[in-house]
Amino acid sequence: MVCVLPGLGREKGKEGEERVVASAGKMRKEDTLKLISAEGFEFVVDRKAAMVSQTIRNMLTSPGSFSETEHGEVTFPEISTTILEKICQYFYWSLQYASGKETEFHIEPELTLELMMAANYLHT
Amino acid sequence: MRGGLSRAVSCWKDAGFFFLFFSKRRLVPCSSFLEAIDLEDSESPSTVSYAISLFDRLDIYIGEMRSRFIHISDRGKRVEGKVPALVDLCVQTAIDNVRYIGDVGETDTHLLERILPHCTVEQLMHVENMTEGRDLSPVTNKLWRKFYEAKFGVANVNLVVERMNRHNITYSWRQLYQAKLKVQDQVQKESVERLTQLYKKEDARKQSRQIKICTKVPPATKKRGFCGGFGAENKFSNAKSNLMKKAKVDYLNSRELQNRVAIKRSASQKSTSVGSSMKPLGMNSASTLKFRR
Repeated sequence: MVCVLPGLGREKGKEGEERVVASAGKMRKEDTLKLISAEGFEFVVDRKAAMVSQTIRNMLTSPGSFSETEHGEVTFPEISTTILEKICQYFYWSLQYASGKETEFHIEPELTLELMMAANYLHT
Repeated sequence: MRGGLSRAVSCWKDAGFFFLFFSKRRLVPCSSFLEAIDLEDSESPSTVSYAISLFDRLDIYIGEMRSRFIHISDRGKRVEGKVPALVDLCVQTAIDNVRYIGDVGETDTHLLERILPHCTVEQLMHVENMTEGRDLSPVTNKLWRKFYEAKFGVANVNLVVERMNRHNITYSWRQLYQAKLKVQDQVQKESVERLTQLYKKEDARKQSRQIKICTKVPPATKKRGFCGGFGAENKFSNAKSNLMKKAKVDYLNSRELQNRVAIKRSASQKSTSVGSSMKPLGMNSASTLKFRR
């Protein structure tokens, strides 16, 4: 489980595959959302960051109750780990950009087409 | 209702897409419109006040578009103050790296329509060849038509269209392009060959007029020339040979020769008795001749 936050790296955790990197303050479960890739890797991100994606936002804010809303987990069986990681990076970059820090978001050419399709699906 | 209604605007939210048809038949994806007008999801489309507010904001949006000349293009997608969408960033990266694109797989048509117009002929050909199991012609047909027009001219395009209509057959513009290219190559090859042949011919003609050194020696004609011909020579030789014959006979009958022959006879008799070898006649005659004189 990797939580990608801007300015912080990844750390190896104690329990199996779970590696959670906390931000400065405590991360409450209600503030986070778990995104699961096709290979089963889990990315824990801020809800606010995940809401950059229209699809995820609709899922979480729709009047009906999706299981995703209840468990705080969203599975993407069609999105690979590398792509999902890049998407999480984009979420945080997007928040940074909106808050005024306008930097370049670099995309590796080999990821372009897949990332484009995933971004199209996530409406982001 | 405001005057915006008369612009024939229709909006379908439930379909998941928003299409706003302006009076000028301009199709605008609603996502960009929603961003521009900050439409809240919570607003219900059924209320009149919502409709009025919608068209109010539509007026403003149209005004903005006219004044700012907002081009819905790939490059200028960044609206001021708004975060660029990941899709747009990916499209821009894809356009920058269009020469590396091969199999486009399951990429959406509307995304391909933004990327593929940036390809050259070779790149487009490569993409179509590498993309297996998917027909890209809905996207690429119009691109191939543009390439055809650029390469072979508008007149040819019109001619092809007319022919297709006449015979009621449709070919894809990619097939037409490839066929035309083949024909053109063939014609070019033939004309090059013809030109080469003409050059060779000309060269051969010039070569034939040159002075060539040959190893064959012409027969010597000096003597013949002096003698005056084949017939004359015969006449003279006949006269000469008659005279020679007479001279020879006289010589053979002369006393000198008879003496010589007698000596030779006696010499040969002596030599056979002694057992010495006989000298050749030529040598003998020369030495004896000297001796006799």
